[in-house]
Amino acid sequence: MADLPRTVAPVDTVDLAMPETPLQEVWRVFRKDRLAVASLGVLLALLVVAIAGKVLTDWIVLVNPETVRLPEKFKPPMSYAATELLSVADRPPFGLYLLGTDELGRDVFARMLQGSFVSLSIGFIAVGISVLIGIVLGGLAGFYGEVKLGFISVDTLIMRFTDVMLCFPTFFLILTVVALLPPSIYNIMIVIGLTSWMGTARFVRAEFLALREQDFVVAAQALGLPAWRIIFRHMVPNAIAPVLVSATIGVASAILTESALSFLGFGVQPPYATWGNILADGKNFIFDAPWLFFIPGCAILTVVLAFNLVGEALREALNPRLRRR
Amino acid sequence: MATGKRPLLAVSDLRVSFFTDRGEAPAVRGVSLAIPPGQTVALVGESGCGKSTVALAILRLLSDPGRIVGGRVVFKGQDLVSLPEPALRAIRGKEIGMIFQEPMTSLNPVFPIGEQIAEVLHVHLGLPKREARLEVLRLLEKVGIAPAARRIDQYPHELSGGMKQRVMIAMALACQPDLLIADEPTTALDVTVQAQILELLQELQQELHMAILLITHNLGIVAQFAQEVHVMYAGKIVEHASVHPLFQHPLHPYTQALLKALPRPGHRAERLAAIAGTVPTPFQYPPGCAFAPRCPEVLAHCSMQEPSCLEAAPCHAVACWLYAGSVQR
Amino acid sequence: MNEQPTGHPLLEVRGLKKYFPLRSGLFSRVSAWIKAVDDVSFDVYPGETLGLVGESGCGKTTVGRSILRLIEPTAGEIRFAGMDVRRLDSTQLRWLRRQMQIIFQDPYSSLNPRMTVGAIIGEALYVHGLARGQELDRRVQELLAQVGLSPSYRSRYPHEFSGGQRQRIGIARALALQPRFLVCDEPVSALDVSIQAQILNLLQDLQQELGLSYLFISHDLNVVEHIADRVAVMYLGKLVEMAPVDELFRNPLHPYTQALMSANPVPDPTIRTRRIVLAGDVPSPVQPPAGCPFHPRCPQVMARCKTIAPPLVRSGHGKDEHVVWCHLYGTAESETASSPSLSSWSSTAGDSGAAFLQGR
Repeated sequence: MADLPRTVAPVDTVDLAMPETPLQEVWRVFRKDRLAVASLGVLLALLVVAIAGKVLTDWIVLVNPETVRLPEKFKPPMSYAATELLSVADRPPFGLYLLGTDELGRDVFARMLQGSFVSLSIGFIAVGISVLIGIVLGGLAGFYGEVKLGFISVDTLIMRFTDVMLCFPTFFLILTVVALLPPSIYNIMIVIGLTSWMGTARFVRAEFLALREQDFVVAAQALGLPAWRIIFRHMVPNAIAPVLVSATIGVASAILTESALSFLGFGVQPPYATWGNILADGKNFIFDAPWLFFIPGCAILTVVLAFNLVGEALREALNPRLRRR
Repeated sequence: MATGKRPLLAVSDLRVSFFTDRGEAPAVRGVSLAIPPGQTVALVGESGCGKSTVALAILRLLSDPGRIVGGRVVFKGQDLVSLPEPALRAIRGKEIGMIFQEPMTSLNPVFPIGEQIAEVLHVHLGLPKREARLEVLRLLEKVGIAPAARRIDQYPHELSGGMKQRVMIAMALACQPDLLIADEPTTALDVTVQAQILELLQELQQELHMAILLITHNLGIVAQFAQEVHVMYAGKIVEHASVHPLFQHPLHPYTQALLKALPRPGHRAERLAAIAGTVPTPFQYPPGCAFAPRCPEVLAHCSMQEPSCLEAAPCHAVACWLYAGSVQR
Repeated sequence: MNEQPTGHPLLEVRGLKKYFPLRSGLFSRVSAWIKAVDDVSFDVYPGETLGLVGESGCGKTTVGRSILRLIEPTAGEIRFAGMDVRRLDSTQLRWLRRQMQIIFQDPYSSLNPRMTVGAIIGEALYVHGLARGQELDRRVQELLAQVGLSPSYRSRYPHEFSGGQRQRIGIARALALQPRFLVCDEPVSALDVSIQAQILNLLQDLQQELGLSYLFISHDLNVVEHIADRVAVMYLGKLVEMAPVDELFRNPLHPYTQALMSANPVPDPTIRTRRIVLAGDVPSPVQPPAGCPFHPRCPQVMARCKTIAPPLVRSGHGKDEHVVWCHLYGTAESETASSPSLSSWSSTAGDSGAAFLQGR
C-alpha cells in the first residue's frame, strides 16, 4: 500500500450550471410576481418624481408650491390658468393646472411634487433609523445574549425593553412627543424611527439565534475570526432578508403615520406640503373641490400598496425554503 | 422467485416529471418493477435518483410540480394511475400502507397517537370508537409499544424517534395491507433502533404475509432484509436481480462501483474505489446511459444511445451496453 | 496501513465534562443539568485517527467542540501539544486556531451562502495575516487543487455545488491554516455512498501527505473501521470502550459495543449476523441511569450494574491499550475507575505522564 503511487484525489470535471449569484436568484423568483414587478415600477417612478419634485420646487423652482393666487382658487384639474391676471413668475408651467388648485389658488401638482419628496424621505429615513436600532439591539441580544450584566442577561434586558416599547400605543406616543417638540420634519422622522424598531429587533434576534447554531458560524469561530467579523460578514448578511422585507413594509407604515400626523395637524407644518396636510386641507372642501381630497388619498393608497406588495414578493423571493435545495 | 407467480403490484414504464420554472425535470424515466406477494423488494439508489418519487407516484401522492407523465401501476388488476380519486383513497392506507423517513413530521403533533391510528381504522374499516380503541391497543402492543394502555393517549412529542416510527408502522398496518411501501424507514434512526425496527418489520411481514417495497440507500439493509433488488440511477433501473446474485456477481458497472465504494468490515487496508464525479440531477442527466460519464468501462456509444434493460442471466436484468451482445433473443 | 508514529500524545483529554443547564420558569432558573459529556478521557497520538463512535445524543459532537473550545467545558483538562487548552489567553487561542480545525457533517449549513468559495477558504488566511493579495489568491487556488476541485471555482457561490463538492470546500477551509489536528464531525454521514468514498479517500490522502491527526466522530461503524486507527465508543456521555481498531472489531468487550456491531447491517447477504436487538431507547441524559448508564438495555445486566459505576478494566499499554468500563470484566482499579483523574491515570499510563512533564 505504502509504495504504491499515490493517486491524486479525482478532480470533479462536471461542468456546473451557469453561475447565478444570490441576487440573480432573488430576482428570478421576484420577477414571477407580476403585481410586485408593477409595484416596483410604480415605486421607481415615484422615486424619480420625488427627486424631480425636490429639484423643481426647491432649487430650480419651475413650479412653486407656495405661490398664492387667490383669484384662481378651486380650479379643477386640467384647467388653464388665466395667464393675463398673473405675473410671469406666478404662472404655472404651460399655463396649466395639471391637478387643479386649492383654496388659496396654489398649484396642487406643485404641492404634490413637494409632498412626494417629503413623504418618501420621511419613510426611508424613519425606517433607516428603526432598522439600524433594530439590527444593533437584536444583534446584541442574539449574539451576546448570554453575557450577564449583574443579575440580568443582555438578552433579557434588551428583549424586555423591546416588550415594554411594544406595549405603548405607538401612535399616541408619537402624538405626545410631537406635541411637546417643535413639529419639524426631522423630529417626525426621528420619532417614527424611534418607535418602530421593535419588530426588526425581534427578527434579527431570532435570526441570530438560529445562525449561531449554523455550522458556518461555528467554523468561523474555529478559524479564530474576530467577533465583529463573524457578526458583520457571516451573520448580518444572512439575517438581512427578513429585515429587508419588514423595512419595505415599514416604509409604507411610516408614510401612513406621517400622513396621519399631518392630517391631525401635528405633522409637517405649512407652508411645507406633505400628502398628509394636502389631504387635511382638502377634507374641508370635499364637496366643492373633491380632487383636493382624492389626489393625495390615491397617492398614499398607491404607494402604501406598492410597498406592501413589493415587501410580500421579497419575502417570497428571499425565503430559502422556496429556493431549490 | 418472482417468475410464475402473479405480482401483487406491477409498475411498468412509470415516468414522472417535475415541472419547474427552470424547465421539465424528468425524475423517473421509465421504471418497471414487480412485487410478488409476501416478498421484500428493495429499490436502492443514491439521493436524487428518483426512488422516493417512485414510491409517491405509486400512490399518486406527488405534490405540485411533480406529475405522472406515463406508465401504469397495476395493483390487483387495477391501474392506480387512471383510477378515480375516491377509489384510490380506499386503497391508500387500507390495501397499501406507507411509512416515511421522517417519523418526526409524519405524525400530527396536536392529536394523541391513539386517535391518529383510530382514525385510519374508522375511515377504512368503519370501526366505532370503542372497538377502534381496543384495536389500537392491540396494534400498539404488536409493534412493541409498551405499556400500550399508557402510550395510547400520549402525544407525538412525548415519544422518541424509534417509538414514533413504531406508531407509523402501527398506522400503516392497521388495516392489514397487502403491500407496505417503506421509504427509508430507518434512515433517521440510530443503528440499534434501526435494528429494532427492521426486526419488527420482518416479524410483522411473516405474520401478515404482506409484501414490502423497501426504498433505501443503505446497501447493508438491502443485503440483510430484501429478497429482490432493483438498483436505480438517474431515474432508471439499471440492474435487477435477487439479492444473492446482485451482491455476489453485480453486472452493471454502477452496482459494481457502488459495492466497491462501500467500506466493508475486514477490508480495512484497502483503499476505497470511489466513483469519480457527482450524482447528476434531473435537470442535467447526461445523454445516452446516464452513468457513462462516471463509468470505468464506458464504451464509445454509451453516451449516444440509452441501453435497454435486458436479461443478461436468468432472472438478472441489466441496462448496460457491455451485456447487449451476450443476450440471446 | 501507514506507519504509525509513536511517542507522546498530541492531544490529551482528561475527565472532560460538559453539563448544559436546563432552564425553566419565569426567571430562567436552572432546573436540571443535561450531562452531555460526563467524564471522558482519551489521547490522540500524532498522525493517527481516533474514531469516536456513538449514537445520536451520546455527546460525541460536544466532545469535539469542547476540544476546540467552541464550547466551554464544565470540567476536565484538555492538553494539546503540552498546552492547557482551557487556560489559553487570546494570543495563545489564536495559535490554537491554527493548530486544530473542524469539518462538519452538513455540507449545506457549513458554508456561508453569501460568500464566494474563494472568500470562504481565504478568509482565515487573511484574518490571521498569513497571506494577502496575489499570494492569498495563489494559496486559495492551491487549497482548491489540494482537495480535488478546480481552482476556477473560487468565484462561485456554495449553492452551485453538490454535497460532495461542498464537503471538499469545507475541508479546504479547514486546511487553510495548515493545522495539525482535525476534528471530523460526521464528515461523510450526509453524503451518498459513491461520494462518501471520495471524501474518505481524500481525508486519508491528506493525512498521509500532511501528517494530520484526526478525531473522527461518526455513528457509522463501517466508516470508522475503515478510517480509524483506534476507536472509542461512547454511550450517554461516557466512554464505554476504547481499543485499537482491529482489536475492537475482533474482540469487542462491552455489551453495548457488541450490540452496536451486531446491529450494523453488513452489505453482504451471505453473512447473516446474529443480531443482538437491544430493548428500548437511549435514556435521557438529564437523568442518566445510576450505576452503568447502559444497564437498562444491557442483555447481560447484573445486580451491581444498577448501583455501582462500572470499573475501568485495562489491558495493553499506550496505543495498544484496550480499555473497557464494564462490571463483566472484574473490578480492577475500581478505586479510580469512575473518574480517572489526571494524576491517577497518567501515573498508571507511565509515558503519558512523562509527556505532561515535558509539555510544561
